[in-house]
Amino acid sequence: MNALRPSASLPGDSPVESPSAPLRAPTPVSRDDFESIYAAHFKQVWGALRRLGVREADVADVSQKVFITAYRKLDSFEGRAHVRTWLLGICERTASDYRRSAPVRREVATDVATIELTAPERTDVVAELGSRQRLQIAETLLDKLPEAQRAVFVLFELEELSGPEIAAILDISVGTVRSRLRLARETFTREVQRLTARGLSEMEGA
Amino acid sequence: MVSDPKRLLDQASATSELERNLLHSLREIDPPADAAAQGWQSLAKSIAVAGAAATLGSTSSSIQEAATLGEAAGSGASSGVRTVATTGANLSVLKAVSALVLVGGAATGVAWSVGRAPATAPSPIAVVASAPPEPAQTVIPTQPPPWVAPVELSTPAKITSPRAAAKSAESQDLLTKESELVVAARAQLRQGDVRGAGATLQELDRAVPHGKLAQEREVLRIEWLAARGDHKGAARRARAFLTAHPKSPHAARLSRFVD
Repeated sequence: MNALRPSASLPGDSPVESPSAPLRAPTPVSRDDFESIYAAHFKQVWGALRRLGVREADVADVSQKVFITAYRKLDSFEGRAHVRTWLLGICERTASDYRRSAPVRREVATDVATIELTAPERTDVVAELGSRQRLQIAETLLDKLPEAQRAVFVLFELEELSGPEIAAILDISVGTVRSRLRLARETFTREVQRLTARGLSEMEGA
Repeated sequence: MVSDPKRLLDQASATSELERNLLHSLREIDPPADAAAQGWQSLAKSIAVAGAAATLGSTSSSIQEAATLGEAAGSGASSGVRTVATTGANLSVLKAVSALVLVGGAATGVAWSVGRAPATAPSPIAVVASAPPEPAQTVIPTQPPPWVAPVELSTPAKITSPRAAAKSAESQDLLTKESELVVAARAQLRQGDVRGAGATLQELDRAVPHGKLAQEREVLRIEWLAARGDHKGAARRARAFLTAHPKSPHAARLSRFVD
């Protein structure tokens, strides 16, 4: 069964012309190139999947799915877009399927210390938290974004794709990308402020 | 045309310290050091890349040789396990990718890995892993097989993508290389190949002198010292490590050297 929903376009189909990308003739890609792609992008794919909502326990399997898909689609890729953008498109669709099909529990870390961040100057407490706890908090915050907003937020703020690139990946207009980004930022900031106002104890049971 | 807004993590953005902190923690997610190699092993099985090098006659005997070694040596395999990553960010400048056989013990036999044979490799077992290329789409590599002409390890890819992609691709290249070597050294120690592990650790120092996996490498160095009988040296460095990184996840592993 093909786990991916058929999508109208892939980044590789419609060339994404970011200003600095030179025009070049489509380069046929060989299977040999796949190994290089894997080696060069494995870590990025891993991180992107995690940021798009794939749980730590599942990311190894889901990244396999991404690379298997990439392997199958190599022939149609033709090298017209950047490999990274193309792979992130596959990541987004794979993560989306993962979230829809797997009952992803919005787990909150139960070992997050109960710290009252009641005063603005105590925001440095987050810095003092172990990096693992900080990450768990950040993940929980991202989980609060509706999926459409989260995808745009992650692809723009964390994967650092451009608006046009994201539009191509998600098959939406650049205007839609920008408005989703604005909404996502508002939601994110609001959730962070809730965190500050009420303390991390509120996150348990969220 | 309206251009994109600044990113939240841009220096110039008015993002709160707390938000920055949290976003940074998301950016720093990294897989475990051996995840890439392990992933490749199962990936190769899934897509049946392995064992399909029928196109190059000279490789089939090498594959045979490697398979024999893999079966015969079992857990005591002493073949050098060296994997070094190449970068392929820009496909139009890809060189031929060669692979080193990752001999992972008798049970798995031969698995495939990505890499180039380093010039100083002791007895590398190098084969080219490639699926039979479909004639209509193949880019035929013109370089000679890696064991004939040693390849420069740290050739940066010619990247024509934007600044961030270029920078991160290069450091990605080094980090991938570093993690592959760490995986190799760990495997060698596990298999009892102390000399091989020492050579790999040396290669690490040479190829990636200021790598990000410093802690993992130090732990391996300590284990290596113990493995070759230098228990005083291992204890000394373990103590130093524990002093410097008391909360490190490696602390538990190292405490046994310190008693």
